[in-house]
Amino acid sequence: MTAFGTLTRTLLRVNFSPRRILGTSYSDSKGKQILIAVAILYIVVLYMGGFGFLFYDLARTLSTIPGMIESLLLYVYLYAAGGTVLIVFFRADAMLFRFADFDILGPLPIKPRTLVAAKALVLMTNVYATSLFAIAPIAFGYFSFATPGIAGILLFVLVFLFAPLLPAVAAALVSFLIRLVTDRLPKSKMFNTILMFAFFLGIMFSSFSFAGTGESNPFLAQSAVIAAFGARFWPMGWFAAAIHEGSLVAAALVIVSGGVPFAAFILILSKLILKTNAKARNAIATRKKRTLDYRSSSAFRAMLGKEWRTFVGVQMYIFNVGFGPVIMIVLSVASLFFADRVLAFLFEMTEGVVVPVHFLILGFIAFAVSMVYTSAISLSIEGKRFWIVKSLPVSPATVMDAKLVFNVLLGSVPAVFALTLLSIAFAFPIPDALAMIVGVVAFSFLTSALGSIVNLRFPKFDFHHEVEVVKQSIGALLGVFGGFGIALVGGFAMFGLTRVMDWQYALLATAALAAIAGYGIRLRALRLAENLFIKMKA
Amino acid sequence: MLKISHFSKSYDGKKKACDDVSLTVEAGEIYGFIGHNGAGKTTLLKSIAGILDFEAGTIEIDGKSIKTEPLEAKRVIAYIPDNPDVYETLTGLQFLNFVADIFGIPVAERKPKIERHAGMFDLLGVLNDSIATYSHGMKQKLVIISALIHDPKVFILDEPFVGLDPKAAYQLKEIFRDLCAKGALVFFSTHILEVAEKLCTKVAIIKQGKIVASGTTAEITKDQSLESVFLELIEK
Repeated sequence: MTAFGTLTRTLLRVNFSPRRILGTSYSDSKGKQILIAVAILYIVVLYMGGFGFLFYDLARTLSTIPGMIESLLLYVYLYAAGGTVLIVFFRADAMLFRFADFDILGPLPIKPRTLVAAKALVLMTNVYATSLFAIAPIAFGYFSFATPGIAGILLFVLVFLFAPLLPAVAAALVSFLIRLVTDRLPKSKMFNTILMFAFFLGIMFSSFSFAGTGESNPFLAQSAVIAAFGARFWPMGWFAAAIHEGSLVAAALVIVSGGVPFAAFILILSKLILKTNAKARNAIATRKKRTLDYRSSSAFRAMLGKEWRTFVGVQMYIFNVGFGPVIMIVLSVASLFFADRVLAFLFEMTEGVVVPVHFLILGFIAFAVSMVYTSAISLSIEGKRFWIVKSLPVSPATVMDAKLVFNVLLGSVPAVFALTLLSIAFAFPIPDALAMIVGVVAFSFLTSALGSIVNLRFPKFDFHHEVEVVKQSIGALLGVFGGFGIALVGGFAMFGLTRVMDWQYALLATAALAAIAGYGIRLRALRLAENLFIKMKA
Repeated sequence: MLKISHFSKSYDGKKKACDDVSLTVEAGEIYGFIGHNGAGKTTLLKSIAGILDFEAGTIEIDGKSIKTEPLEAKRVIAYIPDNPDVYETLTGLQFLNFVADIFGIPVAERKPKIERHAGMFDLLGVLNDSIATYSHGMKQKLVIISALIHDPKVFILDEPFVGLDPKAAYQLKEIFRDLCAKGALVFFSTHILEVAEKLCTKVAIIKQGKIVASGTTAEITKDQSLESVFLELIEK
């Protein structure tokens, strides 16, 4: 086997083995395996039930208009490209420009282009897996109403493999340029984080701004903009023509427009990419003249401080878990100046369902707080450093409680801030605003407690880079989707209670239930920690 | 002060990493723990430090069982692993303050200790730098400084001399002697037999999880070198 083949096979095995994806202990018990299977099923059903239904409905509508069903393929391209941009943008640094195993691979007699090509292929495998998940509902809608035949399906697979290559190259280059620019600045990490957030939020807001209001299906409202995109950006049109018309010329154009830039990226930049990796190993200590600050605090506050510094010190951690707080703050500040536009933006997120404004805001805040899931992964993030807290005279309960409280603070403080501003912007009475704040803090407490249990049951200490824990672990998956599930259950409970009482009381009653449940789960988590810590291998 | 009785540990429930190990280390002793790779040294050291669970036996530190009174036992221990993985998002001083906070060491007490030891190991000028910028040896030194913050009575070290420069290695040996003179004990694993022979008052040799020799260094070596004794015992 060639060096490329051996290297790629090894890297794929290292990165995508079940042990690596699910953590070190998933196979310990049948119970865990069943729980994982149920969780995955729940996520697929939730996803396909929501997006799947909407795209099926869209496909049905488009199939009644001659020549429109193929426009669904433009959606496929755009969603695959969007997913690709986000994945590559956030992961290229860890997987391409500063990969953790450079110390092992760098000294081996492998050509730079072979090494970079293998690394890029691993990154693209991530892209394909995620893009496939993103486009599955759209493809399902398309193939339910269009009949491109076997050739069309084969061409779909072929062009799907090449279509993400061009956006991947573009996103990798932007990420690389941001890194090159910010590395030269003082506080480079902070600037890099801000720039990456700005870029990400820009993409997000512009994607939502595609949609107009007034359509029952929000994806239908996007069709005009997507069609316009398709007319201007040729690869999108080629992609659709290759599948729908069975055009081999269009398929060849997709292959060339993706394959050539990708190959050029590897051939031209491989040496520079390896140099960047080598430079990352030579981080120069910045000698600060600050005097040494010997401040002391309680053990609990010291644990909290450590959680905070880990959070702000790991960029991938901030991007994923900090997204909720950032979007809450950005949107609530914006609401003071552009209340109507913020409201329109929030309505886009309801996927066409009309709800009262305070419910809409509660839903948005709950969604954002659900994305704060440090308690579901922060134990795993200890990784090889777990020996420190295990050998120090601090109880496992204190360690877990600090992680839980940190998550509550990270979710609740921005939520309270955002609710205060949103209440001012939309002129909510003070009692209503207070009820909403109590409800959201109780929700944050419950999801944080649940996250603690999740991380104790599904730890993942064996990782090369934090991204594997933050994005690819069972803890992260259950942390986020568990939060969404609790938000849904809480929403239904509150909705049920509004039949017998005012919504404010219904919210407070739901909050009380959440707080009681959260307290019970917290006690369970602390007891579990006392039993499990010593048994955990890290 | 450190009493290990009939200690056994298995990772898979079948093969024992440590099998019926019994050792006693008294205050003032520097005790070397020697064995081939995979003999069970790290398993025992991690179990003493409360990092690993074990099935059989007892480990008592200053009269406190690491199993039933872990926090009390850990208050008098300092543990240094073979690989100094520390929080790279913290600065050196933040890490030292973190450890001092956990032990409840007031500022007036931690400051002179940190400054003395950081000065000794040439880390004073980089304590405000991120640990991510430290070399392996600097991280090792930082962990040693953190271990000395609370004046441990029981100093447990796994291959402490690996990665240290000659000056730091010399200073660590001086610290060992200083701690023992104050009534603490040092229990460490090593592959450097010359160091063990010259430094340790007692040694134990472990082979496939079992102690095959233990006693004062003079008793073990008699008229041979520790290297010859070790090779003889291991090849038996």
